[in-house]
Parts: sequence; C-alpha cells; structure tokens
Amino acid sequence: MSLSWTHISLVVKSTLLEVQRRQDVWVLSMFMALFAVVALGARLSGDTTPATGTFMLNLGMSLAVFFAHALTVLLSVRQFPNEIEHRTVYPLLAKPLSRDSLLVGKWLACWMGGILTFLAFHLVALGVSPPAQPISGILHLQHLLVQVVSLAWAAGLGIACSLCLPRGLALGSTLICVYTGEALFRWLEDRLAIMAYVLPRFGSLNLATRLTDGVPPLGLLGMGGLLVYGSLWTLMSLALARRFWIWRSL
Amino acid sequence: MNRMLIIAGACWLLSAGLSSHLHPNRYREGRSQDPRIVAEANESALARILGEFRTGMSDILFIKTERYLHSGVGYVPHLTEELLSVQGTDQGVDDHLSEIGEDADVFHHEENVETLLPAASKDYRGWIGQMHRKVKPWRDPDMAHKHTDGKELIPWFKMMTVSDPGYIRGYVIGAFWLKRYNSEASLEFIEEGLVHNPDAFQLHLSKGMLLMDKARQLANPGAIQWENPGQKEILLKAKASFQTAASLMYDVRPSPPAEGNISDLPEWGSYQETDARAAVNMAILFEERYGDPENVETLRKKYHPLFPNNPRLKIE
Repeated sequence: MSLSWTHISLVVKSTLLEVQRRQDVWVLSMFMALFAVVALGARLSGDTTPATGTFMLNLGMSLAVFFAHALTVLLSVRQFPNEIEHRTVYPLLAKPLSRDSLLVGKWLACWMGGILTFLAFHLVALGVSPPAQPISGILHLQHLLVQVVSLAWAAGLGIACSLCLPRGLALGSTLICVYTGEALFRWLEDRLAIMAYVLPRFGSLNLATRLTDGVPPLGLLGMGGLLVYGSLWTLMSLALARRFWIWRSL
Repeated sequence: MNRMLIIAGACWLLSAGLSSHLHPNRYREGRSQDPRIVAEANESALARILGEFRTGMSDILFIKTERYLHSGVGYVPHLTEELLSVQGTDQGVDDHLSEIGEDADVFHHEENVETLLPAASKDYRGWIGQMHRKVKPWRDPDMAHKHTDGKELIPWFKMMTVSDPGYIRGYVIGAFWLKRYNSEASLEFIEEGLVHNPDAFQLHLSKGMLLMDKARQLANPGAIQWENPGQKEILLKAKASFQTAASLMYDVRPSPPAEGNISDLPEWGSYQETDARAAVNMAILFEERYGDPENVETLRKKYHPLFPNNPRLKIE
C-alpha cells in the first residue's frame, strides 16, 4: 500500500472544498434549522415540562445522527463515480497520486464532513432544546465517540458500494444498510439468528435514546465492543473499497 | 489483492461474532418505557404541534391505534393511569367493544375529551379551521366517540413490538385485544413478549389472566370450576404465571416513601401498584386452591409487609 500523507491531505482539502460548494449541507442545515425554530419557540414560550424537554433533546440528537449519516453517504457514494464520469480522475492519478492515497483521502474527507455536520447539529440540539431531565455525561461522551466510528463506517461503506454498483443502486443499498440494518436485525434475530448477526447494525452505534432515557453509561466491555464492532465494519468496507478500486480499469 | 478479500471476510466474521453480544439499546429502566412520562410529554403543546412525529416508532404506532379506535378522529391522549394496569386494559377493551357503533346513546367512558383539531368555537383560524375539519376525520368533542371494533389495529401492536421489543404496554394491550378474536394467538403474543422481557411482571400477570380466560371458555357459562380436569390443567399454568409475577414484582417494587404514597414515586405509578396487588392476590388465591396450606402462609408472610391492609394477606 503506497500512501503519501501530503497527497492525502491535499485530497481531503479539495474534497471538503467541494462539499462546501455543493448544496447538500445547506439543505440539511435548513431542516435542522426548522427543528431549531420549533425547539426555540418551545423554550422561549416556557410551555414545556422536563419530559417535553427530553423529548426535544432526543429528537434533536436523533436528527443530528440521521442528517450526518445522510450527508456522509451522499458524499461518499458520489466521490469516485463523479471523478470517473468527469474524467478528472486521470489528471489526479497522473500527478502522481497513488490510488491508495486517493482512496484514503476521499474516505477521510467524507468522514470529516460527516463529523463536522454531526457535531454542529448536535450542538444545535443541545443549545436550543428546552430544559430536559438529567442525562449522564459519560454516556454523552460515549455517544459522541461511537458516532464518530459510525460515520467512518458509513463513509467506507458508501465508497465500497459506489465502486462496485451503479450510482443509484449504491446510494440505495448504502442508505438501506445505514437506516434499516438494526430493524432487520431485530426482526431476524428470533427467526434466523445467523443471518441477523451478519447484518450491518448502524443502529447499535446510536446511543441517543439510551442517553435521553436516563440509563447509566455502558461498561468498559460494552463500550469497547461497540468501538471494535464499528471499526471492524469500517476496516471491512475499506478493504473491499480498495479491492474494487485497485482492480478497476479506468 | 486477494489479501483484501481475506481481510474483509475476517472482519465480517469477527463482527458477526461480536454482534450477538451487542445490545446497547436493550434496557428496562428507561424513561421512555414509563407510560406516565410518555403521557406527560404527549400532553404538552409542543407534542401537539409535532403531531405524530414522536421519538419512538412504538409511540407513533401506539398513537395510530388510538386513531383507529376512534374512526380516524384524533383526540387529545386520554389514557388514565387506571387504564394502564393489566386489569384496566382488559376492562378498557371491554368498554370499547361495548360501545361500537354509529351513534350509541350511552357511552360509559371518554367523555369531554378534546379533539386535536379544535371545535369551531375554540378555533381562531376561521374558514381555514372549517376547511381543516372538513378534510380531516373530525367529530364534535361533545358527541360520543365513534368506536371501531379494533380488528384493524391488531397488526399495529405487532409492529410496535417489532420496532421496540421492550415495549411492554404494546404486548399487554395487544394481547387483550387479540383475546377477543383468538385466545391462542393472544397467549403466543404474550409469550413473545416474555422472550424479550422475561423479568416484566406485568407480562406474567397478563399471561395468568389470559390462561384464566382460556380455562373459562371450557365451561358453560364461562365459570371457573377448580376441579374440572380440563380447566385444572390450564389453571395450574396460570398459577405458575401468577406466582412468577408476584415474585418478580417483589424484587422490583421500591420501598414506599416515609411520607406520602408509593405511587408518588417517579419509578412506580399507581397502575404498577394495582398490578402488584393483583399479582399477589392471584398468587395467593391459586395457592389456596391448588397448593399447600403451608405455602399459603409463607406467601402471606412474604407479601404482608408490602400490603398490610390487604385482607387476603391476613396472617393467622
């Protein structure tokens, strides 16, 4: 594997610049702003109970997770198909930029875009929600940490799918994995456990409801298990992405 | 490059092995599982603005069932604590079913409940409100509610428990609706709930009640005949369920506060206290019928400190 960190940082910068220019982030920000208007209205009117505050906080945190994953998937799925379609991949690789550096750079950029969106939306949720019932600070940190891993996984999966499937299908497949994996797991767990365990469970890395439910933080084993689980899927997605990317004829 | 496929395969297998041990969102004591807190949130103006957009899919589906029951008309959530207990649920379903029809003359419950779409006298929106009431199912809140038979809402209970297997209320209410149409299916539904929530005493209590009902169906006119062999076989299973319910309740019921009522405690509502009493009463009643007198005394001594005024727990 030939990686140059200078090249990777350049790819990250240029990809993030492109992200900023596109409309996706702003469209998602508008949706989050809608939530903020409602939550702020409730906060200022004072017509809320702590239970309602908790409900709003949960809604805001869940939206932050939902939108950050949506953006990460949208970004990751179109990176390589766009470069190939617009033929900009040839000058990039002729720089000379290794295929590995381009892959890692694109993945890092999608991941960072997702993290920045997630943190911004998460802060909005915390800032505008009416006063809520108490939540665990440690579990809050755990939630943030597993979400970072979850976004890395979403970025890797999106890139891997985009390199082996047509763009629309890749987008659909990745979104299905991200948003329905946990529900499918629950449905299959009692019926066909072996099938359930091989499904990607992004939902298991979302601790927002556990957090707002006032449940104690995860133990070391539980937290470590989640981090390892997310990291294994990320590694798997990146290994597949590399396999498809290196073998791809341009 | 096959090395990449091997790495991917190894990661997949390891993650599958780990997946069976990861259940961070399966817990029992969360706030969202307390119907009183959910009801409190639902009563706020904000929850009304957001309509059906609730945090939990199971809550969204639960609200759906209320609409189905009221012919599509959205009323302000009006579940009382009494209706949240197992016996209250059973009675509530009976009340609903006795009031099916176009315009029944006498309605025993749910009077004076406001609709989510306000009546013309309380609506500041003028013709827009008028149009809103025309295009959406709406009924004057002063009129009796128009109830449906509830068959259509049974699948919703299944869906809400699929989306949240810890949603005990969904299992209990769903099972008592199912009981009216298929008693075997209602027991299967409760069993499904017990697989996911083996420590939920309300589910064991519900199972016992459903088994009693099943036993009643074997007799004419639906009476319990303790020595009837067919009924006895089922009632012995009910006895085991009631005793498990009472024992689990004993483990989770908090100590009453020094001043005030136990149902003032945030973690223990009056509906839970009603269920706790029912579990103990039924456990002792069944032990009196089918058990050992010594066991009856042991149970009375065990549960007497919880309910000192309960005549069934009088220690000899």
